[in-house]
Amino acid sequence: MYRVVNGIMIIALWLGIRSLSHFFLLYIGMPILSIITFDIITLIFIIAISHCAIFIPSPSNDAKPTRNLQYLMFMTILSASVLFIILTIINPYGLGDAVAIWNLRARYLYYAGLDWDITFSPILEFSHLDYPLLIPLNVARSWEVLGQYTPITPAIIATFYTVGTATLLFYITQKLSGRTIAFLSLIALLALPNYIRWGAGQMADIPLAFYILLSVSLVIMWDDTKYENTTIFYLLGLTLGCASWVKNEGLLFVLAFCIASLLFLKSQLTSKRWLQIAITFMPFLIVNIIFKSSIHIPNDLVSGQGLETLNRIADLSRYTTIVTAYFMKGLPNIILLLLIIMYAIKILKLKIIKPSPFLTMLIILVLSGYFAVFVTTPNPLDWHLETALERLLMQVYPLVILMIASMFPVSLPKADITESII
Amino acid sequence: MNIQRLISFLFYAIIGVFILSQFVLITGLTRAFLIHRESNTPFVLSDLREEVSNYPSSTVFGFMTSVDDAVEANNYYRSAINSVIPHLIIESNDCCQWVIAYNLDAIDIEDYALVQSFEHDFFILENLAYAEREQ
Repeated sequence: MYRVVNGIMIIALWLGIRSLSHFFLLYIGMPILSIITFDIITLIFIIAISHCAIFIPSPSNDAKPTRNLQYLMFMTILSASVLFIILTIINPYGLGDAVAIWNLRARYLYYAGLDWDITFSPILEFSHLDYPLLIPLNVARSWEVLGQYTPITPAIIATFYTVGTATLLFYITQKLSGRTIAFLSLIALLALPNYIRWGAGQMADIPLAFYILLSVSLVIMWDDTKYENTTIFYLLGLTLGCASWVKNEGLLFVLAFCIASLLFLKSQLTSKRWLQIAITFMPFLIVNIIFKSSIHIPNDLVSGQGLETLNRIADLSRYTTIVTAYFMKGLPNIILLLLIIMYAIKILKLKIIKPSPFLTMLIILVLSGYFAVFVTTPNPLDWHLETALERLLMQVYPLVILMIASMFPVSLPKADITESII
Repeated sequence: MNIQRLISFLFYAIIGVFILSQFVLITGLTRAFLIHRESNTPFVLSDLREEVSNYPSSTVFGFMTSVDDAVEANNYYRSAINSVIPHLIIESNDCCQWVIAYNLDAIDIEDYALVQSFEHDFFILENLAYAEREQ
């Protein structure tokens, strides 16, 4: 299992570096052959940096999940897999934003070749030209390597991130809280049709969810190695960089990560560690800045701000609408999470501890950031909430599951309920 | 003990409902997909050959295909394409399969990339159009 997770991390980081290098080489006008060479170099680099395996075998001395739970997980994986396959077959070009933004951009980059800059022509303003390029560049790059356009490529990348997120979640929750909680965590993720829908729909929210989960998993692994494995910090810089290069929300996550770390990991994260993170994060930040400054069409959420913003902030009804939408859109997630907590406490008789303050703060900061975006959005609020909120919540959902799972640490003995959070 | 049973029941029942909803979704999607496919006649290649002959020799054909609920998105793109390249001729059927015709002399690289970025099987029919012209 841990080998698979290490492999998933290597591929995910390679995809990030590959798209970064591809953009940079396009920007400076390097020919295709050099790009292929660079692909190979980045792959070697990633394998080298991951040589000291980050994810290690988990102790399996905890109790096996019950037979019923095993059946339930089997059914969940089965239904999720079939749904994923059916959705991929029916929508080979993805859903919504995948068609309108990510795959459209990829096709443009692929067909335009060295005239790639026309990809950002003002005539395509409707397609949110400032959105980062990790996914489109990887799709376009794969078509170049294959020598032909095929809708299978984005579908494979979407499958990788969807399965990768589930696998990583299973591994890290098993490591923290044992197999039973890992089973419950995976059920909480895969039983949600929307996770499968957005994953098969080739939305970039699932890759972002993956990089968010990977970043936090690296922090957990660092904790697990008694703060000795410093390679993790270079990898952490890369994962944060990838998150910022998948979607604009990734930049918000990086900011939230820094604040939460400064507040709760202050003693562990020395200036030397921050420097190590910055070394690998900086290339992503620089390319992001170059990219955004070369796009002459500003982000719709930024350009729409002005004096009206103050009115929007002062409008209390917007807050009520957003809170209601948060609750309604997040209701299925909340139900599943409450079920897991109840099952763990009452049926498994696990002792519950307080949630990690770092994780809690991180989640609160990210959700607050989204909240602020909705308060100030120049777009019609109802429309914006309807089209975006569900996906935004999905970005942090695996992290929330991880936080809940971490409240049932495997090292504690089973005991009667001494405290309850529900 | 009763509370435990109740929680256990709720747990399996609610997760079961989630799983069941996925299977219902699978059945519904598959059924709708099959009905949709059977009830629409796609463009056939021979029709397109005939179509090509109706346009000026410098006209190249592109061919788009998509399925199911991309209908709305396709209509959106269709208007988007036509708004920026009004001289394009775009036709589509109920299957969301599109035929695009445009004059090579009247199109620049930006428009060309835009059209290409929207299509899925473009080169096959572009070559076909060239072949027709050569004949």
